[in-house]
Amino acid sequence: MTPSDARHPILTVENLFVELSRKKAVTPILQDVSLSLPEAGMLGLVGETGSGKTMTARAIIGLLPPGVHVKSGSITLDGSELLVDNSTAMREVRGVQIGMVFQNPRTALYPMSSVEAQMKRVLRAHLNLARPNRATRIHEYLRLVGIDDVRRVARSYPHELSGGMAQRVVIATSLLCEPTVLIADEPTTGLDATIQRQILELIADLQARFSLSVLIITHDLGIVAQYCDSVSVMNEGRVVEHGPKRQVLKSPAHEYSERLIAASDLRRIRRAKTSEPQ
Amino acid sequence: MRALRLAAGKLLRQISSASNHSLVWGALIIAALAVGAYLVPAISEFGAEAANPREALQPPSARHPFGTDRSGFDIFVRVFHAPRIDLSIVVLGVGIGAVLGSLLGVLAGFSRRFMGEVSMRLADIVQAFPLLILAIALVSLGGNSLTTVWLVLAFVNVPVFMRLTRSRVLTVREQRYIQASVALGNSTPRLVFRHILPNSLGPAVVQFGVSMGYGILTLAGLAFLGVGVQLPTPEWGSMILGGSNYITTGQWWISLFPGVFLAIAVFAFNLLSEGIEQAREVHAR
Amino acid sequence: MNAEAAIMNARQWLWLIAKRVIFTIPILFGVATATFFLTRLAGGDPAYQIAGPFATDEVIAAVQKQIGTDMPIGDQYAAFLGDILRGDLGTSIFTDRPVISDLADRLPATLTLVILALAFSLVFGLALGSFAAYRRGRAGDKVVRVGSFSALSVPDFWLGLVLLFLFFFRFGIAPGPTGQIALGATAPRDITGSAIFDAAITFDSAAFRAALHQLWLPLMTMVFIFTAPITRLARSAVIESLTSDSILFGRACGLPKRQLWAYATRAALPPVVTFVGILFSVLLSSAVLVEAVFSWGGAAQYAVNAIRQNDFPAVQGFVMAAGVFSVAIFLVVDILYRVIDPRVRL
Repeated sequence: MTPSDARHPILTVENLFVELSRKKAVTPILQDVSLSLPEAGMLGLVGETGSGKTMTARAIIGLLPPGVHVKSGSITLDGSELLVDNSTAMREVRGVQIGMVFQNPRTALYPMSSVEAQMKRVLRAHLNLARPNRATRIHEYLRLVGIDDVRRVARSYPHELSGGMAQRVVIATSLLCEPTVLIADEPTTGLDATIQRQILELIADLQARFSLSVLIITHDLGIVAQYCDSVSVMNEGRVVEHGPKRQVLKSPAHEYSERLIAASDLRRIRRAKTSEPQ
Repeated sequence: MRALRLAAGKLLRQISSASNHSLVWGALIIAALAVGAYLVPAISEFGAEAANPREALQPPSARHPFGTDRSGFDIFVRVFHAPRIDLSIVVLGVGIGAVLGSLLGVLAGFSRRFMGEVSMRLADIVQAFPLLILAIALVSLGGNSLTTVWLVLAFVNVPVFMRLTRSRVLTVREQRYIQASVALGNSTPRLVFRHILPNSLGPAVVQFGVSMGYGILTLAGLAFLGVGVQLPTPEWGSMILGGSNYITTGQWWISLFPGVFLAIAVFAFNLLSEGIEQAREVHAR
Repeated sequence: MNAEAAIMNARQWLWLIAKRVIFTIPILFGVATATFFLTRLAGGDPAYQIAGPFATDEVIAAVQKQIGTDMPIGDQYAAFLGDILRGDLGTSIFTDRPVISDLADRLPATLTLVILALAFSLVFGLALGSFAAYRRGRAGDKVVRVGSFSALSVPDFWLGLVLLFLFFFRFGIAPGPTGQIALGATAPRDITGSAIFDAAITFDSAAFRAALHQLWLPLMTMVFIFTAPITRLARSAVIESLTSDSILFGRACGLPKRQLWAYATRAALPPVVTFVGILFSVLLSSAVLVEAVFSWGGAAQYAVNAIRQNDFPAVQGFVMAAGVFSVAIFLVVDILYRVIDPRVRL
């Protein structure tokens, strides 16, 4: 794969405006948001709570909350426009072309069904597989996300799983139909510190193995520094800075990014690393 | 009393801070029923208990807008007269039940251990009975009088309010400001009356509207079975009973109009209750 | 699941049921005690009524001796509890038959009404409630909300009369208030006492049609009344589950609408099932009135008559039976809850 291929964008968001209308009052939520996720790359979308990161992700997969809608703009996936008013077409995009992972894995899984049962339903929604093949594929994907005791986990109900295990199942479920793009909305926020790292390593590993294009939403610049190729910074519904990771983290052009970096432990971490005795 | 004043003040603030159609309409309908109960009999040419066999079983007409029953009673005036009995007995019964139940609920919530458990098990037993059978049994055994009816309404509502207030008290007492108040060395009675009671009565007020509606239905249901209020006293349930034998021969008006008014009264109390709940929700946001 | 796990599972279920049954004993004991004292202390001595207004003291004393009210109240209570433990609810003063067989004859009629009403209300309530939840804020939702809220205010006995007027008198498509089996109609062989059930199990289609003809109006009355609260509860429960993370994840995985529908409705079941347990005793109360309107002849009507006649063994028997059924329903609800919701399993 040549470097120019890697920069070819698979998912682009251009001049996206999103607003909330409630009883005649209209509140802008996203203003002129543009993003570009390179094929087989990992883009970090950072910003503090309420900056519009999650809304951007939900606009991409067409699952904005009630009352919130796209006013104008364009979202293209592999060259085709997603912002067409066609819910059946969108259903073929979700899960098949774009997978999504959420913040709290334990509430994301359906509480009343076993892991295997709910994964089967996702499979059945998109792929025409024979019954035994479905089970095989589910077990294969559970193994893929680093679950050893596949049989037991497949039989388990979500409440019987630990947070990390649940997030692995969520990732396996969202990749089940082999999407090319994975959107991970704060995938580690609800997890213990030690588990966080395992999950991020898993995502990075899967990204490399399957040439996935990953949009990772986070407020943790450490994650960006370690795993992403490029980064977009959001503040108050706008993208205030975009660029390769190194450039943004080292010499932020926008004052807000600078403050964000200053507020994180990043500099301290880096300083500590550079001043390490040889 | 101070506790009640605080609770009332809180509620009034919650209500007045919201534009609330349910509440306004509920209150208006109830007020209209109460006023009508005195106004309509006063201006009508027929008495509420004046039999006139020569005009028996007449369908609705200009002279008798809702028709007459088998004794020639004018149904229009009786239907309007009825809230004097229906509303007053139910307000009295449910009101006493609510006050007693809420007080017991506060006690049960506060003395969590033995007393709490015992009283809750007693409440379980009362609530395990089918309400109407219990009420019929109590009314007919305790003497078929109006006093027994409101006593029974009070009795069956005590466990309802007790349960509600207790669970609310258990939540409220765990809240920070209560614990802060304890840490500051406030005395228990002060704590209960100044903080816990005013903040625990909200659900009980909402329940009051529901219980009123259900109480009216129970009173009318009892009367329909011939228990409690009886003809010729103008009361919706007994009037429906009076017309029940004529329904299969086509004299629909005798039972229809009292039932419509009964439903309107229950509806108004349900509205009121929903309005109060909405107001509390708006305020809580 | 292997055999060992299945046995473990069955054992846990049995243990759960056993625990619940043990737990209900004190409640039933309390119900029995309360019933006894309510009927004895408040009701006065029924011997006077049985003996009639002109009876001499000797006659009254003889009656008292016969029905046991000459004993001290404590002894009566002990005798009463002993009888209950032996499954003896006493002898009805007026029918002169064992209360337990009176009830056995009449309870099936009442239970037919109550259980069918519950089942239909549950189906309609869930359907309407989830429909409204999916159409939240739109016209369909408003219609369901206003309709169910208004239906809460309708008196059941009055609705029964109105329906009788319309469908019997006006349209002539329903029978009059003639009970389970119309006069002169084909009656099924009497096995349980529930006409429709007996007709069904004897494959007697003529009797089944006749019984159904008698049943539909009272059933419709109760279903109309009880669909309303279930609809309201189901609506709010489905709305809650529709806004949950798991539905959002399901949508993000591209699950079809039908599947999401099933997800949300199933997640809304536990609160609805719990509510059904509470609703059962309200339904019994309603059955009292509806039976009176339609001369249904079930246990509820029997109890009302018994109360009017101061037939205290019959009243006690009915209240005990109602208590047992309420407790049984609670047990069923408890088990159902666990079957539906894996999170509270055992």
